[in-house]
Amino acid sequence: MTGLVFALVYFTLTGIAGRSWGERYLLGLGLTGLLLFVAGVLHLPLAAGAIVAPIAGLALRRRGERVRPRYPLAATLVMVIPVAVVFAAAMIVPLNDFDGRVFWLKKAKAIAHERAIDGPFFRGEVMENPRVRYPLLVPLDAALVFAATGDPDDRQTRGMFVLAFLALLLVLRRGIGRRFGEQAGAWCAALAAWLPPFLGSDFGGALSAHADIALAAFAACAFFAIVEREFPLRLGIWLAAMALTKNEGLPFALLLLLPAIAVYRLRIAAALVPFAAAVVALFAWHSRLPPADVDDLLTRLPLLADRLPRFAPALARVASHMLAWPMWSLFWPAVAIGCLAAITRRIFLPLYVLIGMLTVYLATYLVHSWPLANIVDSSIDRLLMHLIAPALFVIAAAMEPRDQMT
Amino acid sequence: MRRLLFAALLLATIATSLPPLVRTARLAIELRGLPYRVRRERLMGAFYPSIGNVLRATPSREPLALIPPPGQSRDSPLLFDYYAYPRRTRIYEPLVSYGHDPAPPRTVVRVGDVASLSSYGALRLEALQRLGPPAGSPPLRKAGTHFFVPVIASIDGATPGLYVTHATLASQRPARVTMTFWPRGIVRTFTVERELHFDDLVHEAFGRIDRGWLEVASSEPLRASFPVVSNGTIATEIAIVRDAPRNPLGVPAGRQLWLVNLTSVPAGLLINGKGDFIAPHDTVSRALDCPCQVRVTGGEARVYAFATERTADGGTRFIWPEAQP
Repeated sequence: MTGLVFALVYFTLTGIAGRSWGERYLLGLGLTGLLLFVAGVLHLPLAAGAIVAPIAGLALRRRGERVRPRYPLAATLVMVIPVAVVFAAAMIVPLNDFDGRVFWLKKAKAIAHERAIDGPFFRGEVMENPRVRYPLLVPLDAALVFAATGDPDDRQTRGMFVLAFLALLLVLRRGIGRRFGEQAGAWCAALAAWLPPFLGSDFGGALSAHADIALAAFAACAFFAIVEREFPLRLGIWLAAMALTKNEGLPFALLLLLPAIAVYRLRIAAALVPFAAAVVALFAWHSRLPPADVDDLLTRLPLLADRLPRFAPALARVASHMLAWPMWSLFWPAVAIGCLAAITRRIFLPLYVLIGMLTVYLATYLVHSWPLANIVDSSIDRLLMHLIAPALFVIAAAMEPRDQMT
Repeated sequence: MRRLLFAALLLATIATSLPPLVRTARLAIELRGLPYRVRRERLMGAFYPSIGNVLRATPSREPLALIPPPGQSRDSPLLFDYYAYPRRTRIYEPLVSYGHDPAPPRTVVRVGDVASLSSYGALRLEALQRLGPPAGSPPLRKAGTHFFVPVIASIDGATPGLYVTHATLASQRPARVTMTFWPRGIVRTFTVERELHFDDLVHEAFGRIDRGWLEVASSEPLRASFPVVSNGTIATEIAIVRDAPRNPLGVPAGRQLWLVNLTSVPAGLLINGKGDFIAPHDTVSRALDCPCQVRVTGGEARVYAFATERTADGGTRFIWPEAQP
């Protein structure tokens, strides 16, 4: 319980510049992780990063809108039910997913213990550190919870992950609501709340300790920031958080940067500051680590031309997952219909994001050294979670009556 | 119409998620009120408490060698690490990578469905037994009541290789058998009722991962075989030396000459006319292209010689001596 309270209070306060609780919590997660990471790369005390983060969050605060949307109660109830079950389960059922423990929270334990992100653990001197180069935003936030509670048991971080899931839903509700109305926002968030991958104890769900929900949340915030043409500095923080959350976060952030440049033009410079700092810090950190224990996909990109025969099988395998009823029900067929509607309504940003990221995923599958079936089956459902914001956006676009199009 | 379609989508999604959500809720209800440690045991079975048992049984500063059982992946050791942190550990998979490490942690933990303290030798034996008896075991040969086996071994080859000597001893009547592992001089006594078998003679009988030669003395005549087994398949059959080798010995071929002093006195040698020496009970090798003639010069020493050479498939061929006129 202590970890839950700390996460709730600390990350919410740090993200005080957010316009809703969901956005505040995610801004707190992102800003804290970013500053802790930069502090770690510069070999500054991580505690300093933890102190600076709320101050930086306060500095981001703007006087602005105090609009309090009114969402339909029924939709809110539908959304809250699965969240409540997952929350209760997170407080009672111990963490049991392999990847979450071995690939993510082990790093958090090491950071909390060594107070460094390139100490003996990360140099392989203590024990094996699989996925050595996984970005550290989520482990850093979790390490902060461990340190604050004085207890490196993963039960302290269960709440942090569920709160991120709730925050994602609220950001989706708000972002879609601002464009398509509160009804659309609320019901789309309710739909997202019931999607099986988000509720699972494995494969990146809220009951796991993966970083997929965090990336989906930061990507949603960045997506809506571009849609709403928000302050570019805030966009930069979202992009930086994406790059530091998962390996696919960096190409995702770069993909979003292109339309952001079109939207913000010269003002994009403000976004580039935190984003560039994160990317530079990331590569600097990589340079200090042992070689990766998994494919370095950048170096395998030249294989793309030779691997094109894998494209059709990869596409078919991905499509089979998208149509798998136990995982996604009718969601992706609905997204496909939404894409057609978005085209007719000339809403291109979500299409660009969906097609762009699916292309990135397919390219990854083409050059990966694993057998195609293995790499697709073990990852695609989690990767699809990252696209929840543009996916729901096109569904909302399809639901909007044509005479109400803005 | 749009609202109906969305409602259908939402209901379909809820219908998909509801059963696993209910299972999650039931699990939470089942576990609530239990101590957290017990909740973990319910989810992870005996694995979770076995980690704590191993950690409590070993000094906190003692690094641990984590070795998964044969045929299992490194997933369990990785999970062990998660709960053992900040304990220093090293995972060895495949098994023989431990044998090849010049400075491995002394404490070995077998990490499979449960974690338990073990030894490298025990895990090797488990690996061998899992491979099962090799196909085409050689027939038992008459060995008499006193004989030598010029080379026996339990060694780790190139990953993932395990090279061991199987041994089968058979007697028509119960026999008391004394085996001496030279040059270590380790003596063990066994009773052969009808048949005695070792999957890994050097480790099972003498507790060593090592190489040497064997002297056997029995109260009854024995039949025996000593095949070298590599990763579950028979590589070759080792000769049983019943009679003292006549001097000189000729080894017709090979690239590596091996010499075994079967006696407790030092042996002066002439190998292809060049002087050499071998200590009592010792075994040495010389990189020589045979044919080779080995003559013991003076004294009561008796020396056995044989040669080996690499085959095209990476195996080892043994060339036994021929009596010289």
